[in-house]
Amino acid sequence: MIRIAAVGDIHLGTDSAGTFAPVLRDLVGRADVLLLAGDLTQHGRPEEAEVVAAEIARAEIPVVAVLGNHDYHGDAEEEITAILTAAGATVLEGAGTVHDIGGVRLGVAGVKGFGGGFAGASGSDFGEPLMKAFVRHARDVANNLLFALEELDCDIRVALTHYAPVPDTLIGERAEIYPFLGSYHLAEAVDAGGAELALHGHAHAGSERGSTAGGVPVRNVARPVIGKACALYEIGVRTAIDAERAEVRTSPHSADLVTPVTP
Amino acid sequence: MEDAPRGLRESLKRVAVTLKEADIPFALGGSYACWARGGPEPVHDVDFMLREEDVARAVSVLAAAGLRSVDPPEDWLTKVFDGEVLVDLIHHPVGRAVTGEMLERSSEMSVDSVRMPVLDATDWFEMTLLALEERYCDLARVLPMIRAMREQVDWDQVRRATAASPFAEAALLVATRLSLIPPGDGLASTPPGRNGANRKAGRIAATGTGVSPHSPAPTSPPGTAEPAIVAGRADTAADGGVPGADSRPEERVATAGRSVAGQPSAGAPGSGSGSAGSGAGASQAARRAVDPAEADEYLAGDLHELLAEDPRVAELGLEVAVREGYVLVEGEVATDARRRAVAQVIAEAAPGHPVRNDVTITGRTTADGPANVETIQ
Ligand SMILES: [Fe+2]
Ligand SMILES: [Fe+2]
Repeated sequence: MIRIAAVGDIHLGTDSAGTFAPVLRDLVGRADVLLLAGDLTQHGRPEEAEVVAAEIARAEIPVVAVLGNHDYHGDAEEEITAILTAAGATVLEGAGTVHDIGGVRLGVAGVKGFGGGFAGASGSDFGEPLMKAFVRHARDVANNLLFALEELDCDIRVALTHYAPVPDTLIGERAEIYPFLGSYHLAEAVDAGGAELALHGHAHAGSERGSTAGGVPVRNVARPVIGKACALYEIGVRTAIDAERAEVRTSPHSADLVTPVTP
Repeated sequence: MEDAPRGLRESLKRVAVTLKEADIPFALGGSYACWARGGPEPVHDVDFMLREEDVARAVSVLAAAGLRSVDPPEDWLTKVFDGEVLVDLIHHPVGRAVTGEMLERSSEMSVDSVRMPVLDATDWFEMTLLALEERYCDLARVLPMIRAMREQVDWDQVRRATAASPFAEAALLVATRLSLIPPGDGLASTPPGRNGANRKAGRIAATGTGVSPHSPAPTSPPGTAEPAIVAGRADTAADGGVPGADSRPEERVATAGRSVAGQPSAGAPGSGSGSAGSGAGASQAARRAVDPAEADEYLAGDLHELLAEDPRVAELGLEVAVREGYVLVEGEVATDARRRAVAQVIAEAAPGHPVRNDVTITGRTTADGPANVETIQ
């Protein structure tokens, strides 16, 4: 059983010191890893990233993060990545990381993602240069997620994004802004890359649960959505048959998992 | 005190008759107007409403009739004494000018056997509720008046005209909850956090123009600024220019109430001064110009974008609605400072628009005990 804690959109500012470290302390013994789904800072300023870094510096479990659009707002995403990395976090952008959890290798592939919209209501690579750039960027980052998932050498794959891969978890947001909240290309990558779970943030007014067309559970872990310090998910893994299950990954992924031992 | 009312009534009639004989337009106001309309009889003073330009003449005819004038320090009324009885001649109640239109709306009634114009009940409540303030907000005095006059009043109009006053809102809420008056279909009657659309356009006089809902277009120049009356102002173009207003209320909402009359230049929308109090990093977020006089829906859109772009808030998910100049914001932010910044940013960008800040703070980002664990399978 792998216990994943996840939250996005904590939006820490320079006035937020001391607000997140208690969450991490509380997770000791309850989660094996903490995934942060972007918008860790409010304005994407390095000094805010320092606040985030101080909050996570003493984490006793691995912290894996992607950045969100807020973290890009100050044009300092690289510096922010460096600050968080120095504090011990793994910041993913088109990359993956594997953590061995009790003999099970948990792989997390992460990308911020982008907007663009969902199947049948999405932007096209057509028209003005800015429009084409917008749509191409959305596709590029989705491809990066796919590559990152495929490169993972692990037993369980989790896709971590800031933007949403499916519209299910946007319910509550105004439909008109869905194209700013996510892209179905991310879901394509989640399905094609064999993820068992997709976690995202960004849609503060959305809802927690959804699923890709391929049946992969999608969870919106934006802090306002989950309504608690972080969401906890357990993935039950019968390690003895991991190898077999990996062979049949093309089937709906829910079949890869078995009911876990409940605590 | 037992005799006071009789003495008051004698003075009231004397003044009314004198003004009528002099052909000076006026209306009985204050608590005697309420009494004339069925409310409790007052024991204090007598109020008449006059246009400011008529006050001097009124004072002189009243002096000729034997009353003694007193020039009080207040600039919104003047006083005359009939013996011991004080009579107020009010020309700017709650900062709004008494206008010819307002006086024309008053109804001719018999007051203790003398016919005289009595201030319109809707106007009367607008003034009475707007006069409530922190040191004078005794609802025990207001409720009997509402009870007495309720069916004579256009309550939606009162709600619109008093939307900026929390004291008026409280009085109207209590009266609504007591079923004294019908629930409003507009904002003023909805509890915080539940924004209803105000279905009727406001035709509320701009400050000092004294134009009222029931009257034709305003002609008077703006008078003194009265910050309490900013909600629901409509410019005259919108007012006159919306066809079929009553039958197509939604359409009026879109166009009416766009103007922040009386403060045409106060806006300095999104002026640089707005950066006061903001932190570093504010620089590149260039306070965008928001034109507070544009149509409600555009103003709402601009404020929505501004709240995302202003570094003090930087929240993309807030919902902004503007109804008749009234700005409503809903959503969640992470800290109380950002919640307060929401109101601040809007106040700077769209000065003069009352703001209802229904933004809530996302639960403290602290551990919260045994959380539900979802099993992914
Ligand atoms: Fe966010
Ligand atoms: Fe975001």
